[in-house]
Amino acid sequence: MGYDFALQDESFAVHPVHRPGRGHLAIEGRAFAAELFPGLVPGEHFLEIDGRQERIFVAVRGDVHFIHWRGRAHRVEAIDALERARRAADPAGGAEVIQAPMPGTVVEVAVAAGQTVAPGQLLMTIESMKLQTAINAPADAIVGEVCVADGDTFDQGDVLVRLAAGDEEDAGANEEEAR
Amino acid sequence: MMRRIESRIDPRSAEFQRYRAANRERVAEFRAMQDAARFDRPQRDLDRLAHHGKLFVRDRIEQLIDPGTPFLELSSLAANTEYDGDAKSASVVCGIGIVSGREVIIRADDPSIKGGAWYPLTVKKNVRILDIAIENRLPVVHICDSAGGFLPLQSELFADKDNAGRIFRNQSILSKMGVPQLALVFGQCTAGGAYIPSLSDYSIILRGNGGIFLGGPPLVKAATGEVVDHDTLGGADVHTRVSGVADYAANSEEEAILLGREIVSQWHRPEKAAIERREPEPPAYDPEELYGIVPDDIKIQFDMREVIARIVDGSYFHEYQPDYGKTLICGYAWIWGQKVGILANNGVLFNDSSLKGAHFIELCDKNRTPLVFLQNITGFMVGREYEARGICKDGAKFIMVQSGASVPKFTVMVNGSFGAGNYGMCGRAYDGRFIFSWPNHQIGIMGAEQAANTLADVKVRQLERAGEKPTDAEIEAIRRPVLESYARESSAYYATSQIWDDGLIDPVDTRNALGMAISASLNTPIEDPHYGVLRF
Repeated sequence: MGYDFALQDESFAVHPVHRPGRGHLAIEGRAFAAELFPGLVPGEHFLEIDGRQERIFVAVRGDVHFIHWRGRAHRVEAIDALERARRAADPAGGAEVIQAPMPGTVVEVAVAAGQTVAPGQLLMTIESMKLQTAINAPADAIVGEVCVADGDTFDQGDVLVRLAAGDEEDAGANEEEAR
Repeated sequence: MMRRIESRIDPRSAEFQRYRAANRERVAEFRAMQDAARFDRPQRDLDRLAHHGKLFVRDRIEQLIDPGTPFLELSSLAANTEYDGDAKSASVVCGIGIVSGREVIIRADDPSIKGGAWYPLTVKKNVRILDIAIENRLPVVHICDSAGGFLPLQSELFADKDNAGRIFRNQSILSKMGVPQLALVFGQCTAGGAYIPSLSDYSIILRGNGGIFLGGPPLVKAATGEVVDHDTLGGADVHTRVSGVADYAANSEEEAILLGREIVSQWHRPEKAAIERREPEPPAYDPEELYGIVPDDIKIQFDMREVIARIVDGSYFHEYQPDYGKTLICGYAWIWGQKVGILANNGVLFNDSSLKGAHFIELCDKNRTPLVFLQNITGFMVGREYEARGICKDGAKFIMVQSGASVPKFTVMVNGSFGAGNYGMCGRAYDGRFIFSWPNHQIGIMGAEQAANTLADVKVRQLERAGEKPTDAEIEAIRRPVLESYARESSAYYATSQIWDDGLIDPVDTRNALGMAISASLNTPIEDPHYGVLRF
């Protein structure tokens, strides 16, 4: 099993190759002798690849590495293979039925049918056992139907909201607009 | 392979800002109280210490521990709601520190408060800290400087099973287990207090201030008429040259502390229990964001994954059964490179969440993974349907397996802890190795509102049977005092005052406190798993 990395928007499969002596990598099936040496100042590294030495600077933000090489920054991110496999195999593509986790009453509905929602966005607040719980969108989606109204009571398992698959590009566009 | 928790908190949202403001205020209040407990003393008491050439208790500890290492203080606000607030930290400073490279318990009397006299809660704190020493096989350094039991309250601290006698019993058990103790005698050790150095494997007594005797000079005079001075009766030279009660004499506190560090460096370092480990790394999300997660109203639920993400290494979390029993989050993570299984409340406990919790604990027990419980629990679900499905026996399974688990357990009171939820989630009665609480924490047999309503209902029915019909004002007069006493007695300050936990902590310190506590717990070998009988 190898690792996949996204360089800008392009994906590369990388396999570590075990050979005696020095580090080797197979990138998209081609083998390279590669070693990385730390430099003197923070972020500075020397990358030796097939006998050639390059001076690079690496900055890390979260899981994203920014590699500065010859005056340009390159964005490198590890691709979560499990997440990718999961998304590829999901027939609903994000469509989901949100059911009541426990019996209770609706305090306030926060969305309407047709609305685009982002992951974590509040759909409604419910109350049960003296506790208010936020029902949030699990992923990018479009609200198909809101099945309850403020003040309604419901049983465990009753459908609260139906979500249709969200268009990721649309969601991305919305995010851009919001900026 | 581990995936990070993806945080869904928006630090720019109005809610986050409001919660953060409220929690920062709570933490500032806690810090101010803790500072006062540690350092606020009447000038005349400080002058008296200086006159006797004594260091302040905090400075003694500072000199004892290895430079640059942390001291995990426990129960810093013990007794804060009792004795008019006089007995700061219950008049004894307790915690875990590093001395000559060894993890040890430090238990230091505080002579700046009523001569270091032991109040009932001082005794409770001393017994608890020695219980911690026994459970985690931690050596103990005692710094003795106490006038003895606080006589006006002697009936509450002397005779019962968990009273003062238990301190000396615990010392004896530690010795039986081969866990060493050192006593630094910097003041009086009178009556029962004389047994602390006498039951320690090593003791150093200070010339001048140090004294060990069953009865001090005034008591001797009253009992037998013998007139004898302090040094002749029980000073350093008598005990290190004649009686053999103490082992080494020292001329200054500094000399005694340095000699004490040398003695500790002779102690054998036990091998730690083997658990999964990896290179530690800080959480990917800023722990300061914890302030913006717990709401300012205990009735509002929040996602405990957001808390986990700010406590564990790299915010990595492998969630177990993510789609089953969703009100209890279970999963694996690392804290300071030490593998743990986390159980965290995300709502009321149902049949499925209870079964999931029991199952996950059994897995962790089998694969030798310490357990961390993050409590925010109102209780188990009630109602006909849940009773018919056997919520009682499913809750019983959770409690049975949790009680029986052999791996070390740690609890953090993140927010509410109500009803039997406290039991399932390893509350005080369940022998977790350590319990730490956040300042917003609330605890009680049920919520204040529910308790007030229940009591008001009972009263109203009594009155109705007597043929009376209470007015709304009369009902309110029943409810209000219940609500008020509940608010006081369910607060984190009351709970920590009674030593129902091992201390309040600032939420951002949770990771460090757990890291040290887990490390300390691994001095004890982990027993093989074994359980009681489950009701299926």
